[in-house]
Amino acid sequence: MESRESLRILLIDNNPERAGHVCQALRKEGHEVIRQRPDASGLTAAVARDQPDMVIIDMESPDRDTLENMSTLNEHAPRPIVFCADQPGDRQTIQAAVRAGVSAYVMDGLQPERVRSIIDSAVAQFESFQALRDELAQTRGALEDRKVIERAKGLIMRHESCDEEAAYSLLRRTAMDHSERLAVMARRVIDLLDKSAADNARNSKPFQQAG
Amino acid sequence: MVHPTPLRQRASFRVRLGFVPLLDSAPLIMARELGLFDAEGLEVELSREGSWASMRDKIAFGLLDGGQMLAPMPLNMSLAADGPHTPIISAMVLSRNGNGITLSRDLYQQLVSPGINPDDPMATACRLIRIARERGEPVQLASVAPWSSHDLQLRDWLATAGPEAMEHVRILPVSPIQMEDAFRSGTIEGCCVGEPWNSLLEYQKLGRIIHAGHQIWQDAPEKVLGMRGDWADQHTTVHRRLIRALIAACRWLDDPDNHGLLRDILSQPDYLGEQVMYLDNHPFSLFHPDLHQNFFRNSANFPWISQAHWLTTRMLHWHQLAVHVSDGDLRKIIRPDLFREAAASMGIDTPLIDSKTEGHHARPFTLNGRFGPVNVSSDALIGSRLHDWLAACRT
Repeated sequence: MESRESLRILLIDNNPERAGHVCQALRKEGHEVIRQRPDASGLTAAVARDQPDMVIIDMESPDRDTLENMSTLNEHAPRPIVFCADQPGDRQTIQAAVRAGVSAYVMDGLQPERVRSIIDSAVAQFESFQALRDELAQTRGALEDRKVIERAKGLIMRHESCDEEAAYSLLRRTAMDHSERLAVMARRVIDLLDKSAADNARNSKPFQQAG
Repeated sequence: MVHPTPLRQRASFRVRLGFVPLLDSAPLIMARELGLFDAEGLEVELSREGSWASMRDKIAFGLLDGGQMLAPMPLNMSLAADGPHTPIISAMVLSRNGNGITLSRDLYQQLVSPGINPDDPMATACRLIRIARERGEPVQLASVAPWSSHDLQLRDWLATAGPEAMEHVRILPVSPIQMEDAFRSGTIEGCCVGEPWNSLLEYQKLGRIIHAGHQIWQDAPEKVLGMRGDWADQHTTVHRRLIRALIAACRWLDDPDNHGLLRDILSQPDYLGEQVMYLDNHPFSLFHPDLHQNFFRNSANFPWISQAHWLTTRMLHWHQLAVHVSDGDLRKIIRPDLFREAAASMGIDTPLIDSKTEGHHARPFTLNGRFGPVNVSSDALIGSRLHDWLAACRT
């Protein structure tokens, strides 16, 4: 196969945003990318119709077992890339792909270095998408944590009839005693105090015994 | 049911296991939820996998130490000529039975015509092939994964209709999650799949169960525990504790009184989620009575060498394995010795032998254990498979 020739790649990823990034990156490298929405048995038809040189698919997709099955039933179906892990260089590429959550199926006869470069691009997109998502989750988590701590503080203030500073130091001390994150302890305090308030405000136990 | 994080930090050993959200992932899920892993000093991280292929790759590349596997998977992963050759050690069966063959309501009606006994799988297979022949169009069926008991059971059932039977059916690959849509669109007219999918197809009035997997292979191993070979070699004590925790979970699952709690836990979004919640209005709630899903009784967890051997003969027959497997190679993968040791440490007796003649027993029977007689599951096989097996053993 001429190495300049563009490859036809079928892309299956039910995360549309990430799929967009992967698609763009591969098209920039001159490949033809067909995006496939995962649906019932449409995959078998799509592979037969579009005859891709390669399939890039989200590792977690249930469509993977369909692809595996196709490759055992039909010798012209793309084979799982993990079956090519006998070369040390390939093994590294595939390991990176498995870690990033990318899996791929390739037609026999494709040049290994071309396959590698496509996988590398997809892995890079998956990784940067994950990094972005982690960052977002972290920011969201931090905001969420702050809210929870504020709420726990309020409940303690009411329950112990103390000021904000005393409530906060009580919360922090309890968290340290239990070697827990502050937000985790705050959630437990909310569970406990909210519940006891609802059950029976008069019989609720003093906070010091909580946990 | 949300368990609080344990307050005390304890020294424990971390194990990463994968599971595929099906009813028979219950042993792993309950071992965690009931604190049985904790009791063995294990910190088990359960990873929910969307496909068996994903589980295989993560184990092969070290992201998981092991997990719930389809019974043929440890054999396939260890022996496959073209796959990522990963030696696996399987020392425990997690469940037996639980598969069903479900047909569209149309096809079911045509099949169960006067004179056909719907309980006789050989009669229904012949009738199905006759329907395909008469209409001049193959019957479209689906199985879920290659190297699965579902695929092998479906083929073994159809093959009882004669040597040309397979020319009149097409078996498509469809993942369980997409089975419902495939029935709805008419892409397939039947499938062999695990639970809760058969129950869901019946509940949605898309299909009816014509046969249970146990009518093809009675009490055959369905899901097993499979650990990466190098991991199991390095962590013998942890492996034994893992098996102990899972035996305890299986014993708990054996008591129907526990199934209410099981249902609540499985319906959490981290586990099976809404699939199980659909079954709210289903008359059977969780376990379909016809499918005989079994987790513990009659030495269900014992990993028989003879059953693994017989699985390899079925895989060979259907071209999912290229070469015959020697007894020595099989014993590197399937480890009744490890199971026996773990069970004995819990006071659970096991058969003294590792192999028996498969296909002889239509009912549970007893064998000698170390301390006395031990009950053992039945092992009847459809048609004349017994002879195939004996013939394969002689070659």
